[in-house]
Amino acid sequence: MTDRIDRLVAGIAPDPGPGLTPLALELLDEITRTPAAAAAPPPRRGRRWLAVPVAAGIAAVALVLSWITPGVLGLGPAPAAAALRIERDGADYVITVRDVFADPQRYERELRARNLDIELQVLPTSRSRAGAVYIIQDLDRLLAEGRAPAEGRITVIDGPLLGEEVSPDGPVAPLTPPGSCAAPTGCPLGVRVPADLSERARITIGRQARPGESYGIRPDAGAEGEPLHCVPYVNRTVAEVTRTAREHRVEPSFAYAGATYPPHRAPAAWYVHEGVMSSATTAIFLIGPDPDPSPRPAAAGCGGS
Amino acid sequence: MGPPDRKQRFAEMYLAHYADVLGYIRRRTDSPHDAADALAETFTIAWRRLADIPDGPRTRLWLFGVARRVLANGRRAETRRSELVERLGAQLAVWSAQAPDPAEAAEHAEVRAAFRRLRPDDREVLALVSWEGLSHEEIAVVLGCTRGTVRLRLHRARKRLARELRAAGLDVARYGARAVALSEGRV
Repeated sequence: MTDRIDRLVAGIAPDPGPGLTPLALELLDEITRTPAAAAAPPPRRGRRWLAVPVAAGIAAVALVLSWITPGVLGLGPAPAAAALRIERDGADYVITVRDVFADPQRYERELRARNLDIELQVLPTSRSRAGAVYIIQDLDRLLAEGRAPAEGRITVIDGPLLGEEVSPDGPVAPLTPPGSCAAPTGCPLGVRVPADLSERARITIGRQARPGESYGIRPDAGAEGEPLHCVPYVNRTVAEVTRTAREHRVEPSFAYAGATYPPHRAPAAWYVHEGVMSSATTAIFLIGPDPDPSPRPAAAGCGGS
Repeated sequence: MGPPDRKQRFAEMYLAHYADVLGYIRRRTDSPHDAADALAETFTIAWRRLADIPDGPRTRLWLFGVARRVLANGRRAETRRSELVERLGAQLAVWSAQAPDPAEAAEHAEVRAAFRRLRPDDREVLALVSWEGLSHEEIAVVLGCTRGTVRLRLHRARKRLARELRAAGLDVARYGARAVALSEGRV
């Protein structure tokens, strides 16, 4: 009986997973970059996870993936499904991101297979910016000339270059314009590009950040949908803005000459010129010793600041 | 041992045992993201405690022991998951969704249900035998107990599973024979 019982249990062994993948090698690299002494046991929080008996979660996983990976189910045991769905629509390609966490190199391989010379990245951002698409066109020439376009002045302090945001009616357009997605589970992320896009382009698409995740795309702190929408902060002092931001449950930091400082280390009497959200609950404000003589106008619908 | 040696030793250990540790954790977690968390935490502990890791066949058992405690702890690290661990979780989720699990096949449903009704300790000792293929001696290392205790626990766990199967109306002898024949392609 012993043998039979053991074989029955062996018969219900859940799948062991994909084994050593390129991501596993990245994890090796990440772990060994940490000094061993610094890799102290992390503090704990109360969220328990379920140690379930055996694979009970496949249905749940399929639900969670419903729009991220439409059509993936039933494709068989290929190790890597397409991270993108690329469909021709007249003179355009419609690119839908199925796996928003895929390695950018996978996106690039799949785009190259369609002769699309595009670097695609998907970055976390606020709920109101999810779906936004940014583009840097003619990337190689700009980089060769040592200049790359950047939107705003402080979005690139330590973040990636995004380029210009595209509009829904432009030649390159977001599939879900930011702010238009009402579905609680989110909407498909993607971009429409002309099939004859000839110059190498870098396209960045925003996805909604997970709780606590830092934004890769930093929206203007006063933009509609952000915590400081219609809250005046431009040309107010560091001390005032610290107080105001905290009243709105936003922890500020202040940037000057390429470095950022916490409120107690920034000059309290200096002036805020502009601000961006760096996560759902943190913001970075660019400051200077004097008020900004030509401040950007307040967001639409807020009146003067 | 200087840092380069240390890194080298860890890399060799990691490459040799990653797939086994991933399998161990995945088979015992529901959420792919929790599996990725536990995997990263297990190997981070190994990196920190590299000097404590035994050589040879015991390395894998030591890692299973750590993974077991990470899972039993039932909590996730306070520190935010790295973006990489997020991607690893997403990869595991896609993998789960893509590859139909042979263990989910309908003919195993009763066995699965009976197995789930066992206590966690019983499930673990049976799984270490049948999923990881460990001997009594190896299980004793993973669980941190004596071989005698392992034998006793296994004996009881097998009996309890047989009882669960009978309670579900399955004749272990006959069902077992059929299942074995099926798995060997004889039916």
